[in-house]
Order: sequence, then C-alpha cells, then structure tokens
Amino acid sequence: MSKSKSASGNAIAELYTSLIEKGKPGDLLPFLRLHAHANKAVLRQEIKKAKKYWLSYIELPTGSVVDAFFGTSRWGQRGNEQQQEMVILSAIAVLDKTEIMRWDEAFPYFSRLDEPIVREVVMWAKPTWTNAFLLSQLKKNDWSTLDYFHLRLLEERGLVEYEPELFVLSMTKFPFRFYRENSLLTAYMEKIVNDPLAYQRELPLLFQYETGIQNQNMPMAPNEPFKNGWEKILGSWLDHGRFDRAWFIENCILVQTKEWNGRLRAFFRKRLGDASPTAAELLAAQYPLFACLHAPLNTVVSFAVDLIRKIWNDKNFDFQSFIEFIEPVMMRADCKGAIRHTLTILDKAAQQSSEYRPAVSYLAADVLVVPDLSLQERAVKTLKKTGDPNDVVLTDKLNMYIPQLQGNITEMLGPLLTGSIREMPNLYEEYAAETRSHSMIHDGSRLPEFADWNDLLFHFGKFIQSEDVMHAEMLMDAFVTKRHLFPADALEQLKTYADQLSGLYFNAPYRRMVGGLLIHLIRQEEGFYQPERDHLERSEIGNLAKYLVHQIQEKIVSGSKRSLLCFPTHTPHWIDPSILIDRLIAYDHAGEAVDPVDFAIAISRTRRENIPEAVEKAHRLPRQYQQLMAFVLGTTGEIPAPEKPSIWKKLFGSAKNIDYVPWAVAARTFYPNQEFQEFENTDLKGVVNVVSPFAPEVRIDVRRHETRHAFSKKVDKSTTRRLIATLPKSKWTGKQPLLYSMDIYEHKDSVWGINLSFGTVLFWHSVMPQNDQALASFLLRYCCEYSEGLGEDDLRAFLLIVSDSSFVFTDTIYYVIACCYLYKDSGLRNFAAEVSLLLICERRIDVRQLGEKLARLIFEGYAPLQRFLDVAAVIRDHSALHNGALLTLLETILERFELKEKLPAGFKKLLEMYYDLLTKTGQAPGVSTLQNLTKIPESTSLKPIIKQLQSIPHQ
Amino acid sequence: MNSTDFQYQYAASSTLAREGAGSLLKLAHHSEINEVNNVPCFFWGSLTEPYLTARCWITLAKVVRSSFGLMPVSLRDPIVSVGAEKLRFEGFSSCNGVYVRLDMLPEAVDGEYVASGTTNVDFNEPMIHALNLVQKNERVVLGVGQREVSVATEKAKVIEKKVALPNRWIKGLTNVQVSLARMNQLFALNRVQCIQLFQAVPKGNAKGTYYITFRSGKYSLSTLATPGSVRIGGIQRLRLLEGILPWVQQMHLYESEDRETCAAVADFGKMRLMMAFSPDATRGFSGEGSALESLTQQVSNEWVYGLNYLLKSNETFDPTLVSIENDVDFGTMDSLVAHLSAMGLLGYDVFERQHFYRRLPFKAERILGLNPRLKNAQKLVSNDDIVILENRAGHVEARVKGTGVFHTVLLHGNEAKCTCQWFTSYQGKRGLCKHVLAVQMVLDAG
Repeated sequence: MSKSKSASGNAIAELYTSLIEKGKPGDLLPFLRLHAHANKAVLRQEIKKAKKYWLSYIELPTGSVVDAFFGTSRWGQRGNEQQQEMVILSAIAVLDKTEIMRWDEAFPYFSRLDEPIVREVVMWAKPTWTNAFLLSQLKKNDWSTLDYFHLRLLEERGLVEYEPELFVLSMTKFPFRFYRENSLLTAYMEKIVNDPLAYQRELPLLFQYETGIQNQNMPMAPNEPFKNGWEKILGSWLDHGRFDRAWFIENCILVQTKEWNGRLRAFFRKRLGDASPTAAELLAAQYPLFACLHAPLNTVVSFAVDLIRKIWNDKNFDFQSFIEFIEPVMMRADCKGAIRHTLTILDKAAQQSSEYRPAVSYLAADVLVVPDLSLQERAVKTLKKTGDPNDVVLTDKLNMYIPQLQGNITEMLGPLLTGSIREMPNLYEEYAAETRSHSMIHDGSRLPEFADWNDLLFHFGKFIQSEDVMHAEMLMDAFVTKRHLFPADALEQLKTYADQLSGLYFNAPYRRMVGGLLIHLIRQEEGFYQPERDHLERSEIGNLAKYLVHQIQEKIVSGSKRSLLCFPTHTPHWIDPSILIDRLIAYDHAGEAVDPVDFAIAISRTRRENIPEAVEKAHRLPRQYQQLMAFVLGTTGEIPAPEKPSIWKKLFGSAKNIDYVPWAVAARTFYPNQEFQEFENTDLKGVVNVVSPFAPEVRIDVRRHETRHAFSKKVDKSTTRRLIATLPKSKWTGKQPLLYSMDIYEHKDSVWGINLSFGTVLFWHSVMPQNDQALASFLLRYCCEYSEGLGEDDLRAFLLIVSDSSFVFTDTIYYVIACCYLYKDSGLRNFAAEVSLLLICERRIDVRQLGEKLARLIFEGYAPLQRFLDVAAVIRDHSALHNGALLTLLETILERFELKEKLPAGFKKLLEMYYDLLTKTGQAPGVSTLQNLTKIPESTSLKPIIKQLQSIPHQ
Repeated sequence: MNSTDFQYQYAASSTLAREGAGSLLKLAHHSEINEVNNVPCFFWGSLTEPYLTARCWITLAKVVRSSFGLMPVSLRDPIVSVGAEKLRFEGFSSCNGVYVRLDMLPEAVDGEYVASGTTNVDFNEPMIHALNLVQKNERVVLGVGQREVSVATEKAKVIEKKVALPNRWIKGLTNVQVSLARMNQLFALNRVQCIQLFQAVPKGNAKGTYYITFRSGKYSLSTLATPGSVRIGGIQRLRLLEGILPWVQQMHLYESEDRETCAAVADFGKMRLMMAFSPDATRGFSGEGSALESLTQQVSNEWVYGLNYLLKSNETFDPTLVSIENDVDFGTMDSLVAHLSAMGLLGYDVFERQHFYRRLPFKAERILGLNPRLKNAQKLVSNDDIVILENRAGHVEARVKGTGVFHTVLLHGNEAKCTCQWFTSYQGKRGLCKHVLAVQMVLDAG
C-alpha cells in the first residue's frame, strides 16, 4: 500500500517537474485540479524544491544560449518568466500559511488579478491565509504595494476578510507601476476620489493606523515634478464635502500627539493648512491643540502654539486650561520659538486680566531653566511685569533656579530674588596646567602573579572578554614561565577555551594573533604558528604582535623559562629598568638571543625609576648593552659615533657596525622633543622621527561642489572641509623595530580610510607608552580627516589613554583632542567632555594650547561650532576650577577669532556662554579678546551681547 | 526562535466610546486559565484623573509595541491585575528589554472591584487612538471586562487575535521581578530635574552605556561610570517616558546591586508608572537568569500551591512575615520567593519595596518550562556528567562534561566560575551557567 502510494507520489513529482520544465502556465490549473488535493504533501515538497532550482540566483553554466543572452554577466535564475510564474502560482495554490509567509515572490501576484491565469488559480485555490500574508507583506517593506481595487475584488469574492489595517495600507500605497504610467495613476486617483467605500469606510482609518501616505509622491504627467497624490485626493474630498470638516480638523491635530513618523505628521499638518480652518473651527478643536503642547516633537509644539496664537483672545478660549497645559513647554530647551510666542500671549493676557498674573509669573519663571541668555532676558521682562516679590511660590521657584541663571539674570531679577537668594558659592578658581611626574614602579603596581592553576585557567576568560593588552601578555608568558603550575590535564581543561577562541573574531590583530597562538598551543598543533599579516589592519604597529608570538614559540621549543624582555613588570605595561637589566644578563648567561622587536618594545616601556638599583647592576651587563642601557637609564646622554670602516677592519672583519635602531627608539622614548644630530651619520639618516621629532603640518582643505537636481534642474552648491595632516610620502623599509617611524607615512590606499581599531590603539600605546606623538599623528591623519568620519572607536580608545596619569601631551595630541570635541558622534564628544573634566581636575591639560587648536578648527569651518558648545556645556559649572579652565579656553578661542567667509552658526551662543561665565565668576573679558570682537561685522543679533561684554567693568 | 502561538479570544474588542458627556472604556479580557477567563468583569468605575490615566496607557501601549533589539515590532496585549483596591497594568516591549507597569492606586479610580485576578486585556489601535481624545475634565468610566452578564453571555462574535507570543515574553515577566527585588533607590528627581535630564538624552540610537549622575546641582548623563551614578544601557529607551514627564511629581531611579539593570518610577500621586530597563538594548530580561540560583533548591509544591490559595491578586506578600508566621527558614523562603516569581505568581513593587501576589494568565506548565538552563542542568545531573574533585569548606572544584570538552567549575566563597562560553561571555552577569547550576544541585542533594 505504502509502496504504491510512494510510487504515485514519485509520478506526481515527475509530472510536476516536467510541467514546470515545459513552462506553459496554462497547463498549471488543470494539473492542480486533477492532483493537488490528493497529493498535497508531495506537491509541497516539490514546490519548495522547484523554488530552489528555478528561482535561486546562481552563476549560470556556460553555454551558447546563456552566453549570448547574458554577455559577460553570468548571474541569474534558471527559470524563465513562465517557469517562475508557474512555481509561484502553484505555491499560492498549495502551501499553507506558515510556508507561504516566506514567499515574498507571491505578493506581486495579488496585484495581477486582472490576468486570467493568475485570477483563475487564486479563485480556484481560495487560500485561507491571504489576510495575514498580505498584511505582513505590506507592513514589511515600504515599497510593497497592493492595488486597492484588487483587494476589494478579493473581498467581494470572499478571499479576503475585511481588516481595517490591511485595507488602509493597501489604499494609501499607489501601485509601483504608476511611476512610469502617469495616466494609470490619474485614473486610479480619480477612481478613489469617487469611491464611496474609500471615503466612508477607509478614510477614518488614516488617523488610526500609521501609513506611508506622505511618501506617495509621483509625477502626475510626463516630465512633471513629483507631487503627493494623497494631497490631491484629500483636497478633492474636502472640497466635495465627503467628510465633516470639524472631524477632519480635529483628527489632523490629534495625530500630532502620536508617536508616528515625523513626515507623516507633517503631512497632516499641511492638510490642516490646506483646509484653512476658521477661528471658530480651531476653537472647537482647542483641547486637541492643548494635547499637542505635550508632544515630544518640538515642531508639533510650535504648530500648536502658532494656531493658539490665532484664537487665544476669543471669549470661548479656555485660557485656564491653556496655562495648565503650557507649563512643561516653558522648560523645554528645544521649544525656544514656541516659548517666545507664548510669553507674548501671556504678557497680553496678564495685561488684560490681572487674575492671570501669578500664573503667568510662574510660567515665566520656569523659562529660567532653559540655558539661553536672550530667552531668560525675555522671561525676566514678563516677570518684572507680573511677578510679586511677596509671592512665596514665585520666590521659591526662582530660588530653585538660581544655578541655571545665565549672565546677569540674577541682577536683572533684582527685587524678586531679594530675601530668597542664598549665599552664592565661589564659582571661579584660576586654572593653570601643572606638570607632575607620577611613579609607576612601586609595590602596589607590581604585575600580579598567577596564584595557582585555577587562577591561570580562568584568566583565559579575561583575555577573551577584555581589550587589555596585559591579559594577552600574561597568558603568553604563562606558557613559558609558569609551566610548573600546569597540571597533567591542563591542555584537556583548556580545550574549551580553544573552541571558544576559534569561534571568535577580534578586531585588533594582536588579540587575533595571541588567540591563534593559544589555540595552537592548546591543540598541540604541529610546527610554528605563523600568523599572517593582517591586511585589514594597515598599520605596521598593529601587526607587531606576530614577532612576539614567534618569540614565545621559540622559547617553548628551546625550553627557555625566561620572560620576554618586553613582558611588563608593573601594570599595565611598565618595565622596571633593574629587572630589564636582570633579564638581559640572564639571556646572556643562557646564550639566548635577544629579539630586536622584543628589545625595542622593552626599551620604550622602561621607566626611568628605580635607577640606583639598575645602575648598580648595569656593570654586569654584556658589553654590547652597557652603553645603550646607560643611555636608557639616563646616566649618559651620549650616543656613540659610528666607527669609520678602515680597509684593515673590513678585510679582517673586526669592524663593529652599531645597530642604531634601539638607540633611536631609546632617544625618542626618553627625549621626545630633542634633536639627535648623531643619527645623521648613520643609516637612519632621513628617517622620520629619528633625527628630529616629527609633527605633521595641519591645514584645512576646502572643496566646493555643485550638483544639479534631475527634475528641478536647480544647482545645489555645497562645501566640504577636511583636515589634512601631512605625513612623509615614503615608508620606512628598514629593520622592523624602529617603533616611532614605522607607521608615520602616507598610506597609498587611504581612499578607503585607514582606521585602526579600539584594541589596536590600546596596543600601540602599550608598545610606546611614553611618547604618543606617532599614534596621535596617525590618528590625526586617518581618523580626523573629516569630522563626520568613522574613527570614533579609535578616538575613544585614544581618549582613554589620554586620561592615564602618565600621559604626556604634545601639539598634535591637542589637535586630536580638539577633533574629538568637534566629532559628529555625540557619544565621543560626551566622552571627550568627561575626560576633560578629569584632566582639568588634575590640572594636566593646557587649555590655552587646546583653545588655539579649537579656534583654528572652528573658524576654518572644520565642524559646526555647536558641537564644541555641547562639550563646553558639560564642563561649565562643574566646579570653580572647571569654570576657570573653561573661561581661559573660551578666551583663547575668541582671541583667535578670524572671519573667514561667514560667522560660524552658533557664534552668538559662544559669546553668551563667555558672557555668562564672566558675569557669574566676576571676571572681566581679556583686552585682546575685546579688541578682537571689534572685527565682527555689524550684526543686529550680535550687537546686544557684544555691548554687554564691553560693558563689563575691568577690575 | 522558540515561540508559542498564544491565541487571545476576546469576547469583543476593547473600545472607548463617547457616551453622553463622558466616555466609556471597555477593556476586553482573556486568560489561558479557565477560572479567570470565566470572570465576566473585574472592575467597573470611573477614573479620577482621566487625562493623566490616558497618557499613562498610551505610554504603556508605546512600550508594548516598541522594539530596540532585532525583534520585529508587534503590539502585544498588556496584563492587568485587579484586587486589593489596586489596578496594575503591566507589559513588555517586543524586544523584552523594557518592562512597564502602571500601578493605579485606590485614589486613581472610583468604582467597584467586582473580582480579583490577572488577565490579558485587548489593546488595539482604534482604542489607543481614541485615548488621545480623552480630556481633563470629562468623565471616563473604565470597565475591565463586561459589567452586564447578559452582554458576556450574548453570542457575540468572538474576536480571535492570533499572536505569536514568544516564550521569552512570558519568561521576561517572571525574571524581571527578581531583578526588581534586587534594586536600590539612588535618586529622586522633581519635575524640573526630570525635564532637564530628559533634554540631555541623545537623539537617535546612541551607542554605549550612559550613567545618570548628579553633579553641579543637576542631573546629567555621562559616559563614564562614577560612584553613585545609575547605569543605563540603550539610553534611547528612556525616551519612552517622555510622554508623561509633564505630570510627574517625582521620578525615582533605582539600580540593581550588580549595576546591570535599572528602573524609573514616575510618581503621579494617585498612580505610579514604572519602567525597568535590561542591561542593554540588545539584551532582554528573558535571558537574565538571576533567579536560577534559588531554583536549584527544590521547594515543596504544597508550599507553592498553598500560597496560591492563601493570597489574592495584588495582595502584599511579605516573605519575612510569612517565614516567621509559618516557621519557614529564611533560606527556604528565598527559594520559595524565586519559585513563585518564576511561576509568575509574584510581582515586585520596587517603590513600596514589597512583593505582591498575582497569577499570570498563562498555564503554569507553560511558565515552568521556561528555564532551559535549569532543565539542562538537571539533565547533566541525571546523566551523571559531574565529577566533584574537591569539596572542602567554602571551596568546591568539579569537572562537568560539555560537548566534546570538560568544563572546570569552581565555587569559592560566594564566587562561582566556569570555563564554559556562557561564563566567559558574561562573567556571571547573566546568572549562573548550567554547569554551575548542576554542581550546586549535586551538592544540595548531598
């Protein structure tokens, strides 16, 4: 029985396959009528197989027909149009709801019901899932459309049940083909306009379901600009009285309170404007308007206030309710326009009726929480007219708002604050950066040792989870120096970590390389693990870990129990010089070769601390290291001159060529700003950052663009500005470990942008922790080129480094910090502000230097000024010291004010912030700043604030 | 994705209709539990603050149809608990990362508590749209269910709402109560401070974690963790509260002891709207296994079902009092509380710092089957996959069989560690892994 069933199943499958192969859609329905009901399970399988075969995009096989048809591109589907149609129609006819939901291809067929073959199959199959399928398709993609009248046909035939959301979505989306066929669109719109069911049943749903009505823009005639079709339909319905005007007005207002797409709400606001509501109609809708005052979107609040301005003076206007509803608006920094208009209304209302005065004064007081000087001045005007000094509610409010008061608002409020004003705290402390040296080599910072095997075992998890370079180094070192902790089943226990590591991808190459090494060691794979150079990571430093990985393996193979020279002795990356000397001596005794990369990193990590102990041991060093280590320890500043190669020495091979690479690394580590002419006579002559310290030149490049709009033919002009930090053109191709020179060159493929990664920035700093100039030059060149760039992760890591107490600042570093202040990513700016708070607190940042860089970037238009103001707002009022630092920063910026093309947007706010700080802290503006402000062109909006600045008396 | 087609069958759609000078909001209800489903009406009465209540419901609806992770958005129906003169509406965002609850205190309504219980209520688009029309001074009558028995028995068309209700939604409802019980209040903001704080919330989807701090006399957001700050991942989720800020009398901010989850309670006097936020926008409460540790200890079913019959919806549940009155040791009581929460029988009011009883409107077996980590741990125990290597005071080391590997489990003092991927990824921040749970089960079994 089952055999015969299977045989018949096979026969049906073959029949279906051959049917599709023939590709005659007309044959499908007779086949389905004959076999579908009895062979549903088989057909389901066959349809899915057919979809995979005929509909999948593949690289087509070679063949004369295919070649002739596709030319050079071979990417396509096996099935022709008819074959694909047959597969999809059979899916519609046979599959159930769960299965069809994954067939997006079936959706367009419901807009093709005017084609007999499609219609007949659908009508015959009578699928029960149409409602759910069509709705999910319409909701899934904005561009999915379903002809509304086809849907109605399905409804009439009982194939679709009436479902409001489905019908309103279908009606509002114009079929896609109308983009090309304008006459069809106008006919379709005409049909909707005159369709009673559309305006009686579907229209109210426009206000209940979020549709894409605002996006239905199409050309109404060839070569005409795009217009919104629904604008015309709704206008026509309105003109012909198809709905109640009052109802329409109320709903256009009410939808503004919904969390809908902003452009959709704007669409309804425009329709309300088209309806030109009369004052009486607006009065009838005053309560919905009040509800709009609480909308999170400020444009909705402004819209409501604009309409209320037209009716507030009417006797039927509920002014008391308005006062209640408007209260939260008065505290919103994003509703300044609406607040100004409201204050005008309130002034007039208080003048007309004294009973409103207390309430009006409370509302005006609330405006004082908005940090905007001119707005606060406007509110004070109202307060002076309406405020009662004996009103406890008002004075309490004002008292609470004192910390928020800008500029001289406290004085302006005068009698209203008398008696309630508290002792103002000291708001100013002069700021000056201090240079302090921090001890990094002490018992408290000693690198922790693994207590036992379990401690070591769970450290693998820490390495996987953390970007901290130290964890990677501790694990590598454990395989060399801590083998005694490994139990017999250690590798068995570690297998889980090898599995975890092999399933992970780390952005930073050093983590990938160390992870690869750990997998190799745990799985005891043969030979040496040799990580490939990471081509995604274009920096040389980023790939440096491969030398360390190799060196560790050398040690394991040779049975060495000595740590790498560069293995930190103190957290997070420091080396005690006396221990480095111990290591060099031990290497020498054991006859273990010193790896140049390892040695160079060790030098750059060595602190000039614990020097006496190191000096005491230094005489035991092998001769070849004695001079160099004396230079590292600072006991000598002499760099040996190269020996002149005499013929005699050349002949007998006794000439000693000094390897100057570690000398150059040591020189740049301990004397970052010094010139070393000694290297002029060596093979390092001309290499960047060796003889002289390198700092890139910085300039702002301006590019102007013109784009012509395809339809309107209008020409749009725009300008882009980028920061160019010039690096040398050629790459250092000599020995690897010339750390400070390796990456400082112009990468040819910079067109793709060369970002490092968060982890690589940390690794770079860990390799060269005492001089970050090279890192800063790289970041300035590749991450700061555009303020809208994608370097926020790298810059965030850099800011993290900057906050380290041992960090040393340079000119280039100040440029990078200034770029962080101006970067588009608000999270990065916020982080920069937080780091600045810390740096100011510890008096480690020179705000004058930072201000100089900021002034240049701001006035040359690198980024909007507002971004800097956001950062400054976080620093302001944090403490008296922070106010002092900010004041110096603002003053430095304003001293360097230069008018390039036009004043940067937000310049007034900058002046207001400066004025606010000056008045709040009792300071006077700098003479040179005041003089510089005279360069500002005559401007009515700036005049008052400049006058205010000039009026501050000098002490 | 593991999902359950939970089928709501409402006798009618919820509607808000204008009647005379006021409006009548009839909430249709449905429960998977028959005895609850057969209750025609739970509450009937008028709202004392109709406009504010409507805004709170709109906010609730906004949460249940929002998604901040990869989950698609769909409007899920909230749950209402009626009893002890309180109405509590609760729900989850589609992504499971935001839990919302509106506690309507006795003063918020004036009416009759006809029955007590917990049920799903239909929240549909037209009804939410109609909530926008509610005005301050109009009379609004609320009915949870149908008042007239005749209406309930009338052969009205059954409104079937087929919703693919994922298990994680129900699981989140149980897990969040454990997180809430471990929270402490850090800040209380007045309305002005609230408005100022929310103005600082970055627009769009801000990356990374933010910290709410109090400095320079105001509340602000920082990207650096400072002592005493409240950590919030997926800061954009805070914007869900924007719609109710104008009426907030005070907003209380809470943070869990492990600094992972936080909650905000907007206090309106007569009502309180609470939102709890998972550690990050991409993490839902359903995946937080904070209750698992307590669930390893078996609690007698008699206790669980005994309490179920003792208490009514929204009634306060005081574990200490119950322990003392019934001579139950505190350790057992902790497990009992965790069991009751995991079964959907306890909610937690973070403002009043107490548990309240409510029985989720889903079958118990559905809820109990929602802890796969616990089930997998039990499987490890029954397969004898655990070897205890060392067991001395305060220190246990064990090997647990994994897929092709062995995992080392270490219990030292209060610390539990495992070498598995779950522990590596979360370092104990999302509850214990199945290996640690299995070791604990073996140790408990003695």
